[in-house]
Amino acid sequence: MLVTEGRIARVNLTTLSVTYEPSLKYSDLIGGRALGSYLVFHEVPENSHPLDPENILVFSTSPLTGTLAPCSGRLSISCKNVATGGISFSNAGGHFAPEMKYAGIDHLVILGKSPYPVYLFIHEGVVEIKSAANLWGLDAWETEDLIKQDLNNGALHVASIGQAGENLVTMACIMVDRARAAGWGGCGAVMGSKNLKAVAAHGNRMMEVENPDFFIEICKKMWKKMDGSRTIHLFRKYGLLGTSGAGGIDGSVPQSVRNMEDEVWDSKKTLKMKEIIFKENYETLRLANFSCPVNCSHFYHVKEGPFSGLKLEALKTNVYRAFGTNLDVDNRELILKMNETSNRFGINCDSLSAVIAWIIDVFERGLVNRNETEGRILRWGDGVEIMSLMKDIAFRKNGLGDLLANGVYRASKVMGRGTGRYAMHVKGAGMCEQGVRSFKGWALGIMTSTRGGGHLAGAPNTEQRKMSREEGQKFFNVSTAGDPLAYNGKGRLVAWFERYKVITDTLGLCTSTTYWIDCALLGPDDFAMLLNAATGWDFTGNDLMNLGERIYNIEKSFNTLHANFSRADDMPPYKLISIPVSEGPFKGERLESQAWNSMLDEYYKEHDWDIETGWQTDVCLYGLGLSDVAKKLEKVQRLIKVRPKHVS
Amino acid sequence: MCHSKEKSDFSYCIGVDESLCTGCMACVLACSYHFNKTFSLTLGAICVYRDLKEGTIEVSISSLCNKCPEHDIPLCMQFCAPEAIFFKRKRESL
Repeated sequence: MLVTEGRIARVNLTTLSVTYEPSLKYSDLIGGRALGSYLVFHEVPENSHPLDPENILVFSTSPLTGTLAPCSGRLSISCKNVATGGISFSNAGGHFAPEMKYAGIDHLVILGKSPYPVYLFIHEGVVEIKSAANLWGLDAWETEDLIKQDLNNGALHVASIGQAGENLVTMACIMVDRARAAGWGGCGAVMGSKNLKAVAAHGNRMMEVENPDFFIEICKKMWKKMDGSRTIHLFRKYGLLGTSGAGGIDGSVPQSVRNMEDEVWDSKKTLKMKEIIFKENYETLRLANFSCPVNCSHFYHVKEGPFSGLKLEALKTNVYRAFGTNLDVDNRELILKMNETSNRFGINCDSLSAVIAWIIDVFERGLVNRNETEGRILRWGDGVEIMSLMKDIAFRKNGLGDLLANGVYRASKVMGRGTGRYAMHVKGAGMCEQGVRSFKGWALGIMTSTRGGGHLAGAPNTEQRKMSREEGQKFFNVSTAGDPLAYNGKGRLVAWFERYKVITDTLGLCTSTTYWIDCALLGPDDFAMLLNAATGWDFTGNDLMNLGERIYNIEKSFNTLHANFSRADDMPPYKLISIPVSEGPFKGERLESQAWNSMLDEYYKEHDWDIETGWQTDVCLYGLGLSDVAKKLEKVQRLIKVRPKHVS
Repeated sequence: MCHSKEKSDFSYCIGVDESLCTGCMACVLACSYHFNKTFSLTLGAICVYRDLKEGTIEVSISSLCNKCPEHDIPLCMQFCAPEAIFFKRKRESL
């Protein structure tokens, strides 16, 4: 069967029924994030709550999934965002997405709410709804183990929620293959709200591509390209810590310290966290996602101390940042234990860190007292107390756990008394990012992200890799792309990466094989070549980038319609504007309000959006062929009209 | 590195250093492509089993393997990024 000839399964959990339609119905959207965002925009009612049965959860793959295209195994998950009320898209590595496709289903659209806990089993082109009575209450790892045992099939792959998803924690994520998370938007809580504990898949379908000889030759060249990249060499050697963890390989990368108060961590603590120490002390195996030549994931085994026996696939840079620097924890084994715990409970580590760092921060500032922390004395780096808080949040235990489970933005609204000033969030979603004061374009991409933060929506990392003026000009038409302190040009740069990242996510590719990491790797024309060879379609790199712009606009419209976001929601939190970096090469850096606003103006102009409000214009949407989107915005007076009236 | 002399020599077969294997399945896909021009995890001569609880990988190569006579270097080797696949003398496996 050709890679384009699979099926979409629509599962209605309220009626416990499944219908099917051909994937080709949506071939103009390709798959992945583009399909997910499109379906969420068109099918989720504007007045619905993200945890209502009306929200849909879309699991989607691409025509490249399950083939030898490099790093093509990512699973895309879309829904209405629990933290922001806007759009959510997220993706996870592992081997689940190709397995779903081998099982005969390209995309899964889940609607409604089951009357009792269930899980889905995808096999031989059908989706079976099975009771999850014995799974409810288990963590994500136990769930995966028990499903494999119940179905007597060790080869299947599972996407599941832990207790955080069941308890509707706003930062709950969906765990794939134990350690891979679709972390954003509270998609785990959406799954929990539907009484859906897991999706398991196993299949033996053969994947045929349209032009096999050409496809395999392209794949060979692309795999070879990876060998020439220094960044990929570092990933292979040290995992993701090789480039940005612990200040990076040369110690100069800004970090995220104590609720993002600073970007420089104590040097003794930083030295304890060097990538080489993790490698030499804990690494037992290098792992890769499906069809991935990068192998940035490493398996660690703790052999002594209080966490002796701990074995897990770890440690992503953001996990190190979330449980290390941002909470001031300098105990390596404890960080690995927190990594395991968050995987088991199924909680996004960034947002979890944001809310725990915030409560410690406001407690230390005297804005919250011991009565409000239920007698706890909260301190930076106190692993015992932090682990206890993590559990209370996942189980919504006690008043404090229940409050924090709502995320940093809502918790600070309830707490009041000036605590909101220290809540690190983007559009309501908790944030834990490094170098946001030091790298201006990076910061812009995080703040404007339609899903509410995260550096994998539009943030460029050209500044971190010190891209030359010539290279910036050549690839992005932005000569300042590699200048961290320049605000000028970054609006254009971020808009480019937003379109580009839509396409990366739509094709189910990992960003580690792309321009985002190294311009010697895959760009839009490479994407088009792979896609065309696999499908027989006729996309150019520009066509793909245009699709990226259309989808980004659909996501932006969803945010306007559902969450009423505007320019004010693209502004950085107080701390980033007011508290400068304390020392190091970026000493004194912060986000200057006036310069930020100029950068934002440039960004809006690049997308053809209105500078004053941040809303979309008729010129932009009609120009992209999105008249249906424009009409919806016009109905609620959120469409800015700039074109002459006689133009229809 | 593979040499055509070794490749054509019946006393050599393909071996895998499991400690280097990352479990990406590219060799499995490449092998399935070699035999069927399709991508599948079950139609080739290579089988990879990943145990993510213990952090181990096991690889087996069946007697179906014909060392890709039409390629200078077998396809599985060409797609093995960690260079875990190599030629070995058949008696080494005894």
